[in-house]
Amino acid sequence: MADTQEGRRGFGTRRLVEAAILAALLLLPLGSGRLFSDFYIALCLRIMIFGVLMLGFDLLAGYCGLVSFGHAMFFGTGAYVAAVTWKYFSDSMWIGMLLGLGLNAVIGYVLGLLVVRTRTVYFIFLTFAFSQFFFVTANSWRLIGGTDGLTGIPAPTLLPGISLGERIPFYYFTVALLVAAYLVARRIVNSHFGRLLRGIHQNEERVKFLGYNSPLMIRRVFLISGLFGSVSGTLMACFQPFVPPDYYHLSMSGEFVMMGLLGGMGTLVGPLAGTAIVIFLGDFLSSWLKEAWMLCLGAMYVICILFSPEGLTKIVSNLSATGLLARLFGRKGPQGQGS
Amino acid sequence: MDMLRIENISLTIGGLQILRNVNVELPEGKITSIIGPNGAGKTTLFNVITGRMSPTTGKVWFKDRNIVKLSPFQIARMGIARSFQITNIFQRMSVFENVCLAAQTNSPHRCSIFSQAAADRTTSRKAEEILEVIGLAALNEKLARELSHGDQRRLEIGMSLATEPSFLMLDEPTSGMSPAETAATIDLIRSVGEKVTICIIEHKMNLVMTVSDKIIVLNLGQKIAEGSPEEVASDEQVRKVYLGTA
Amino acid sequence: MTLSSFLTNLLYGITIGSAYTLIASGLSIVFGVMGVLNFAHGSFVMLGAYTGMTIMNLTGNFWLSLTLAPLAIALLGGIVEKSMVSRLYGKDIPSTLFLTFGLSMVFSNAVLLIWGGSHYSIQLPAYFKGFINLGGIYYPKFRLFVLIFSCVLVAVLWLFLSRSRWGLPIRAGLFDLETVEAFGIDIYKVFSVLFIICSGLAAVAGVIIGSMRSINPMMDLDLITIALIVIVIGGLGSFKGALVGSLVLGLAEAFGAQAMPGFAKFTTWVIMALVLLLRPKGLFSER
Repeated sequence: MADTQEGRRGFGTRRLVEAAILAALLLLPLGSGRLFSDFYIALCLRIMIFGVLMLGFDLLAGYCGLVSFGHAMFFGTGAYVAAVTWKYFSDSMWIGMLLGLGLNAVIGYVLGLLVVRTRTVYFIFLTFAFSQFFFVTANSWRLIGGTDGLTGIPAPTLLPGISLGERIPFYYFTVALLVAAYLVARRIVNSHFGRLLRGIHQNEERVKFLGYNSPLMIRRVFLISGLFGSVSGTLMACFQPFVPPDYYHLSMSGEFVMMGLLGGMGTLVGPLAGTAIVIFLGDFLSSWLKEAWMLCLGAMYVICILFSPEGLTKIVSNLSATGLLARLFGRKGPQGQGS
Repeated sequence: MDMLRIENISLTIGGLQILRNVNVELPEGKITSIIGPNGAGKTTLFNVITGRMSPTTGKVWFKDRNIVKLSPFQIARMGIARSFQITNIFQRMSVFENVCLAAQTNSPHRCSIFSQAAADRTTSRKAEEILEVIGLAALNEKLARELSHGDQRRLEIGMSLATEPSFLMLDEPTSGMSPAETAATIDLIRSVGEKVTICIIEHKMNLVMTVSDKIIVLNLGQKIAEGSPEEVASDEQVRKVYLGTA
Repeated sequence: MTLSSFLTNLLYGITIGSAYTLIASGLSIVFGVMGVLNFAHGSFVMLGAYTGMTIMNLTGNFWLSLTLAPLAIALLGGIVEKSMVSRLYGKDIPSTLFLTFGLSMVFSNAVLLIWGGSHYSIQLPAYFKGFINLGGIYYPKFRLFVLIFSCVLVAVLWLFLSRSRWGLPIRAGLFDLETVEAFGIDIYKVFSVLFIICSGLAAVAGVIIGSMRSINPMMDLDLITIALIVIVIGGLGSFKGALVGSLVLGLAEAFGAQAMPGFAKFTTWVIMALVLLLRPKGLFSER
């Protein structure tokens, strides 16, 4: 992503693409069942749900340079809290979501204090370790289902009378949330804070000497990015009526990283595209290879990185969806993406 | 009236005494230069003042406060700005954005998540003014890493200026600059010096002599001389140190 | 807590701690010297355990397991290093991390496919079963063996690093690769040997742990987490740090399991969180 002010041409193109995608999303349910199988609605929903998380992930990893290998932590917690809420206390989507946001805010704040002084390597490993803690806990805590997770989660209601158990209302609710999340993320990126984040990514020391409390900024973006993950997890708990501890698993966090990298970090749209790619790919692989699909995915990660002699950041600008798109529209590829 | 007072600062790292009992007064409204052979501890002194390093003993007085225990960002907020010996800018941002980020620090929205950076006219205008002053207005949109070394040094200075400091510290601002660029920088320093207290580390003697109101000479971590340019130029110790290490 | 149970826990803590040292030190040194954070390190431990188990099932000879499994895994490590890891030397750290992450996915899923998801354990030969009387304390024979064996191995490793001809470039490499190269030592050969040795050590730990605890396809993640926590506590790149960190974790596990069953794992994370707050670079960090 070129860190200069948005050129007018690029801006117009992006708006066009955004509008086109939104239109496609809104119109999709009309064709489902008639033009194509409604399996695609489900696939689209998965993409949108993860997309919300990826927006937050991009703020942290793409703009600030901190790749989190533990975002599953926020996702899983958002799911578990909502599920427990809907199963035992209330059937309101809003209450489930707010409670999830609340707990994740606490987690994001506390962990932020712990990881703020770490960078790159340590940060990656620490976020992994903490999410592993959640996984182990969820796996052995019988109160929330243990290894099998929580099952039999009732569908929540949006407002009295509108149940989100119906596919169509839930679909449009998710679209609305994704759009809202996207607008918020854009606003943050273009804010003073967003500029600071990019500065911290490139030269944290200089930012400090200009008078900014950089650790505080980092803790803030960490927490914000966690909140996006929380919303995503809550949506997931509504989408599928069970919440397994696998939502906390490393492979989930790893998938998020992969989605971000494939799509092109630091662009907001990139990770969304990457999500679509990985989900379609995962679906294709698992139906083709059955149990061996994860092994294949791992092998693909390996091949991917080996084929890029300059490392991950070059994959991003050469193969990423936004890189390809940019070249399609005749502009030079995005600069300074990722780390 | 002293803008900044350094009191008995010593710094020992790994058994090596880098600064020994340094006492320095930096008068308000004046331009002071710190000179000395390589390894004298000049940049280290800057680092101690700006909070990048902690002294083993001693105090630094600024605005009636001992700032030794403060973190760099707190010291910067108090009004001390500093440029670096090795260019320390935001390589992948445009020249304009570099200065904006610096100017932003005095905006009420400085860390705001919601207010849009592009809409901040005050900051933008200030950045444009600074760019005019340092002569980089034409290179506005260029990425910082594409600038020539001399231009990058100027950007470095510009960023420090943009924070509207009351005390400006410049660490070898003209290093790597051509004679023309150096002359332009001298003019810049002079004009800025009318409003801001300045402290410069420099090796170029002509610059030091023409621009300074006061000169401090360090050698091996100790102050060996101070005074007006004439006084220092005729000081025996100083001559020995410079001729000795010629 | 009685004296005998205290001593038992102490012994067990040191036992498991020394096994952890074999794992964590390998990870730490590989990173300190080569700049490679090997996410698949836990996989090597796991593969060592599974291989050891298979050899044990086939031959009934524990010593064969203990020697052949590590050799096999060391060989695997060498292949991985030569063909893949070495291509990424000098690249940014997330790149190698991603490579090893992908590899760990491949390994754990391969294990799942080959051996299935059940929990196994390495069957101990008869002479290792039962207890031995140590001045009033009854301690499992096998654990005593592990204690002595691991301590000897750790001591050998320590001596190797601090005294031997190869140890110097490795320790020096922790700080300055260029100087080491200037001495005419082929740094890439050192890297390969290092990686092979560390993989082998990990596999040894795998056989040991596989004989005391259960073997399952998820153990690679558990173990890499433990190794990581050890490094956070002890500091990256330091053998002494890995040793101390491992002992702390081992003792925490031993005593924690007694004091609060089920919360044993919790204590390790609490310790890590404390270290992060107070000494973010670890206790003995040399970077």
